[in-house]
Amino acid sequence: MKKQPPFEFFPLATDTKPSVPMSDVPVHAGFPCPVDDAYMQQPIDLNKLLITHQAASYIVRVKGDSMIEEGIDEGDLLVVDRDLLPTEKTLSVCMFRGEFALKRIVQSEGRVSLMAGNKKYKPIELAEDEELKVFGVVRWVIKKKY
Amino acid sequence: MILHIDCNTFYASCEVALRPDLQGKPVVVANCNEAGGGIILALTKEAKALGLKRGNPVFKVAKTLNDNNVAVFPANLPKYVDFSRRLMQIVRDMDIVQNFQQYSVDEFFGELPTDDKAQLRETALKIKQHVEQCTGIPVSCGVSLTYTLGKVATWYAKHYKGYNGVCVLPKDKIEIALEQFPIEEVWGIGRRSAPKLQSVGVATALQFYNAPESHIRRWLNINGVRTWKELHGIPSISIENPERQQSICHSRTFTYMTDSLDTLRSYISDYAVAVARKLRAQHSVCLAVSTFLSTNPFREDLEQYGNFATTKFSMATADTRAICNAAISALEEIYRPGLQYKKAGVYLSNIASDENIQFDLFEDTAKVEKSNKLMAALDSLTDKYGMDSVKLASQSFAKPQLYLTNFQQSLNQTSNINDVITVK
Repeated sequence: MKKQPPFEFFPLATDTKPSVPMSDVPVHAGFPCPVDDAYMQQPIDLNKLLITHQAASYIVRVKGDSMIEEGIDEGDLLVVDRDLLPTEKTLSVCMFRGEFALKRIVQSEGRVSLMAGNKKYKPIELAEDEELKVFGVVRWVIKKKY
Repeated sequence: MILHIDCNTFYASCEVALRPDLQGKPVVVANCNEAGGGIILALTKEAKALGLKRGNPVFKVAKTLNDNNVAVFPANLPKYVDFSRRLMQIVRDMDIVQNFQQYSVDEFFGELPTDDKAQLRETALKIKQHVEQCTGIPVSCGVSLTYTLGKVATWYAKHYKGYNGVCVLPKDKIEIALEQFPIEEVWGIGRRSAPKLQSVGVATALQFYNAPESHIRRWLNINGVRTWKELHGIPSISIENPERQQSICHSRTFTYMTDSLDTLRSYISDYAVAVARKLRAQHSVCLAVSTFLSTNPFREDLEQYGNFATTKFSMATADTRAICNAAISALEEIYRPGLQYKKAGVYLSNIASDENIQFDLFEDTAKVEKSNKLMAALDSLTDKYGMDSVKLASQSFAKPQLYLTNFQQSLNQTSNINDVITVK
């Protein structure tokens, strides 16, 4: 049996400017090139993959260790989408007490709590009159490994 | 029906949107010049509550700013343009508004394909909430039959709390709306025509509306008639393809007078860079560059002087270097030593589209091509990293003199990786 490789590799686009007009391609006389639009495959475009709502997305850098148990470390970049509603399954960037805070928002019995991803930090329960502004929801975590 | 979206205190809102520590605080954006002067361009409602106003010279209100710890930002146009572009895209992505277009950096028009008042209100409210969630910029929406009436509706949305930022103005409510509407606020009338109308007994927007068309034609020009028709619900204005500006000017009054040719050279270089950029932004080229210079007319005790000079090109250009050199040589022509100068500026004239440049027989086309490429690179760098990232050697490098205690740096959180938001 043929062994599957441990990873699959995909071509990657590095330039996602608007496509070049076809008139730039020199026209050859003679045998036609079989590479036609219909057969062309587009390389993977990270912009398209990571950024769903382009105009509502922000890149945010992580500081500190409050989310290490969620696999998010200092220096990681987050793709934050403002066009998404937070749930208990999502991590949210909140505007809270004059700061940006990365939290999981949990609601139980009418109370709202903000959870960190590090046992060092206790959940913060919102006071009844306290305002919580959700800036956006984390879609992707970009981590530099090398 | 026409939908009009207007951003509230736009520049200030852009600065506050990505700063949780400034939410609900007094914030001001000013066009700070070389000496830390300039005037207030936009301010949050908390800053307005301190008695500050648009147009206040910063140095005159410095005490109020400092005493109340008001955050003062220098205007960062590339950042505001990015917010504007995002807002535009967000509304287009919703796929509810037809022909959605930008009218200015903080104003947009579109069409809503229904006449049902309740439905219009609901849709506009939905757009407003979505825009505010996705951009963090508060907006007001007006809906009515024409662009001009749309702006009337937005004015009501802004000035009356009960509307919650959205006002729909149907045909049968036009007269009531115009009754309380200040005539100088009508789009297309403005401060210059308002006194003219008052002199013939037209003091309110409703009186203007009720006047016969023939009178309007007599009092004002064809644009006045267009405005009148628009108020009657007859679409008469086109906002597509704004006309190419026939001349572009950039001038400043200095906070401190100067007699130094070197200082003036660096100012003129800054202004030339700014006008050249505006010129390229509208895809145009110019044939002539003028520089003007004047002393302070309020200082009658000093010798007065004012002059201008024009340099013409053999071939139309939009090259920053050519425009800057021409502006400086014009400056050197009119500069007289020993005088205290207060104001200077650069303006470009004989402007045409860059599509049909008349090539000079002696000009090398390869050189032109090279210049175009360099300018495109310059624009993309300044788009990305701000106006101060790449400079001509003759431009000014001085930082504003800071007598303000809470002067802020305007970060480019959306376009510079070093400026992105950090989260704990």
